[in-house]
Amino acid sequence: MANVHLFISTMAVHAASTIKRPFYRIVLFIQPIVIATTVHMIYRNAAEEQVARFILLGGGLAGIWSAMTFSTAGDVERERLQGVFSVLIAAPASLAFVFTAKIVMNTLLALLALVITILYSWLVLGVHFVLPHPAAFVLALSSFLFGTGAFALFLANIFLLTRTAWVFQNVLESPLLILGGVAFPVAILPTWARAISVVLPIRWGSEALYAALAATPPDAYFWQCVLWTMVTGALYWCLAQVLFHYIEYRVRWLGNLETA
Amino acid sequence: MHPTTVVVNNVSRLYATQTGFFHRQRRVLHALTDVSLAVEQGEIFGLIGPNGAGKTTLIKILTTLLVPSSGSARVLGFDVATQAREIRPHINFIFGGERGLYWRLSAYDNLCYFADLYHIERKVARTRIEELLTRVGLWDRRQEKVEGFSKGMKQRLHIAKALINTPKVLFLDEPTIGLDPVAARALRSLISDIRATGVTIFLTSHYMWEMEALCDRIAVVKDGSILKINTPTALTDLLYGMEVVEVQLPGTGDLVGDQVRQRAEVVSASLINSGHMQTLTIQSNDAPATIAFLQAHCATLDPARLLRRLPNLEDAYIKLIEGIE
Amino acid sequence: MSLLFQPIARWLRLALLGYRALFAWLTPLDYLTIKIIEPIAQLLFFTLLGQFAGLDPAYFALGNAVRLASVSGLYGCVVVMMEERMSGTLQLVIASATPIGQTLVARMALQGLDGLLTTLLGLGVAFLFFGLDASQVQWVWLLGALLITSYAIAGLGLFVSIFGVFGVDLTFAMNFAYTLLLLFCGVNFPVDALPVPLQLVANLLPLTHGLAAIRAIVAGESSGVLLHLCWEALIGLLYGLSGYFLFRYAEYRARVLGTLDLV
Repeated sequence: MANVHLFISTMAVHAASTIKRPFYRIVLFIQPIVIATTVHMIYRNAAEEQVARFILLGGGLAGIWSAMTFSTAGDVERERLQGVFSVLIAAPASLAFVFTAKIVMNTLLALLALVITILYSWLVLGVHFVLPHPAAFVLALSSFLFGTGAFALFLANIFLLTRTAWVFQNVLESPLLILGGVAFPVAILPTWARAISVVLPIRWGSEALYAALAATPPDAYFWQCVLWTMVTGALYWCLAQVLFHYIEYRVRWLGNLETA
Repeated sequence: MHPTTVVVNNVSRLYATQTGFFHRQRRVLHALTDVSLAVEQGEIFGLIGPNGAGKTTLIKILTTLLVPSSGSARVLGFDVATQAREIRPHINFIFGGERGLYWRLSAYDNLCYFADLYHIERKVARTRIEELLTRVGLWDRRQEKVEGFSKGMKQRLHIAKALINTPKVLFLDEPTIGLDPVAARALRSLISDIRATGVTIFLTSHYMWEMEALCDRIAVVKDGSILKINTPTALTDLLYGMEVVEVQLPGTGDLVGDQVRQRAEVVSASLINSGHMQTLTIQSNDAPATIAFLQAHCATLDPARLLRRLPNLEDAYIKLIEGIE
Repeated sequence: MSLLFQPIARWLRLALLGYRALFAWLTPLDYLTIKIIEPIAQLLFFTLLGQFAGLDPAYFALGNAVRLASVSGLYGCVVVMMEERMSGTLQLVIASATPIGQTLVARMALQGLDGLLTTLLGLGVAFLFFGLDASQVQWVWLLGALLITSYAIAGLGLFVSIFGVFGVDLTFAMNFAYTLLLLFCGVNFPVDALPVPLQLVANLLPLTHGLAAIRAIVAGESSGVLLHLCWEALIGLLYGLSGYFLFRYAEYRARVLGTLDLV
């Protein structure tokens, strides 16, 4: 029961501090609107059914990923700068538990980006969406959020382990939007890029979502994408757990990891 | 060079703020009220007062960062409000703390930059920078970035930066704040050396003994007004005939303080907590009587922790600020 | 001669030292990631988006390459102002012997040049990988147009950065301006595809006319180029001057009225 309480309160504290950051609000609102508008204008001469999928998913998924990237990378550095990281290490609850709660909250908040994209597209761009397979869409979205969240948890550990990796948070956004196939399929990328995207949950989650919005019912490819999203997500989740233990080991036994 | 370097005539500075959206409430803050003073060339002039008294506001007016709401102030004969451009090449200032330097640049590059801001010729700047960095003991560290400097080193670099344009008037707002005793002493020595070259110095500090040691005259500022201007000796003489009894007590300071204040010869008694001990500072017109009282009524009194001395600037400051007659 | 050289040399030193002092992205890793990798990745994203939609990728590559000048011109100028305030040196600069206008222009100077470098990199990618045809390019005109566009964007950057002294959240302001440039200036779709009111907005922004001129230059056309560049220069100058006068107003509010804290 105490663990449930801690999980919920961690989520609540994290939500309160994240939403208050102006840049997060920019990422949550502006990013999806920019991409949705750009996609809409690029496809302005195309048939509406074709456009709707790309606006919805291009804008929405890009917004989700950008929000996840910013809040995850930023959170780690903020915790370190504020001196909270060392408190978390010394607290009775495990670091893994606390960070998982944060990532879950990040994921739920990031979902707002999709909601904003849908509302913006409908009210401003006049684009109507049809969900031909609602259950498939919900399943695909859930797997996308799980995969993305697990990947973000893994990244959080990388940022905890090395200060210079923090710099690379600057390059997490656009390259992963390309490799993740959020606005266009990875099939158009060169072979080497497609090879990298195989290990990214965002790629498989995007493909599952696009398949769920297709007119044809979910087929074997849809289920394959969902499965790969879960598998790659689980892989990153496991890696994250291992890294959490390694972090605690470096802090407490080796004493060679800065906590502030 | 104008003999009376700084002249302030009836300067007031107001800040008007508005709060509320539907029912707007206007508040006027009087940061300075009718302040007048004159500082001669080559003086070290001190400003002391509690936080928020108006010292920094006055310094900002004299450094042309603020304009008086009323009254006038002239630095080197030029009006601070309308002739700021004429004043700026001949003054410089330090606002204390660690900010005010470019942390990504080296000490040398910081001074180069400020030399350019003050239009110092390149050849002259190079020589001057070497002299200044040597003088403040940073020549060997000149190529290191400021972000790696200690507080004391940054303060020394502040001094070097403040002298880059060989100012005629220098404003130092709490220059030794946060420094360790050795670094602070070195800085005070440097300030004395600067004064010896004829520079007029405005100095603020909360360290009374520092002000006593350095300043020719001191203005005591409270609530935006000047209470007194005089030499440190003359300010201390306000307590002529008085003595100060300092006693350290283990936790009974409040009780003893209340009792001591009832006594006729006691002018004031203030208490400071330091660790597990309390220091009671008593200004008395009859120190022997006060000591006798303490010895009779304090079972915990340790003679080794009792000090009888003449009043100093800090005692005079407290008397003035607390309005004790 | 020395009387003429000295002020220019001094101003150049102020620009260079100011750039090194305040530009937070000058470490090799930061510069590589923020100024090279991420902008090029953005260019790739939009170009591939256009390519997948069946449109000419060269159009998108060129538009986004030129837009990359805003990473320095807009973000760079704002970051510099934020750093100046955080380091507590703004009041030192105001109270120094150098007029503040000179210092503000010095702050902007290298950001415009840096923006040009990023754009040239983006153009290289566009020429090499996305079929942008170099055979008709008038290179001198292209360089001139890029320079004007980069500095026009830096003018906007200066204007936006001054809002920080009034308490406006600069992170929001610069991202908002960045978004306007991305959406309204003809980067990924022509300006005349926008509703008429938004076309008016587009014509009041830097980059719109500069990009139009650059597209014509790359295509080997000369019609309208000079007019577009004059408009671009004028718009950039207006934003820069507005930034200067806004700062003087902030100074007035701080020094005279005492209703603003410039530190």
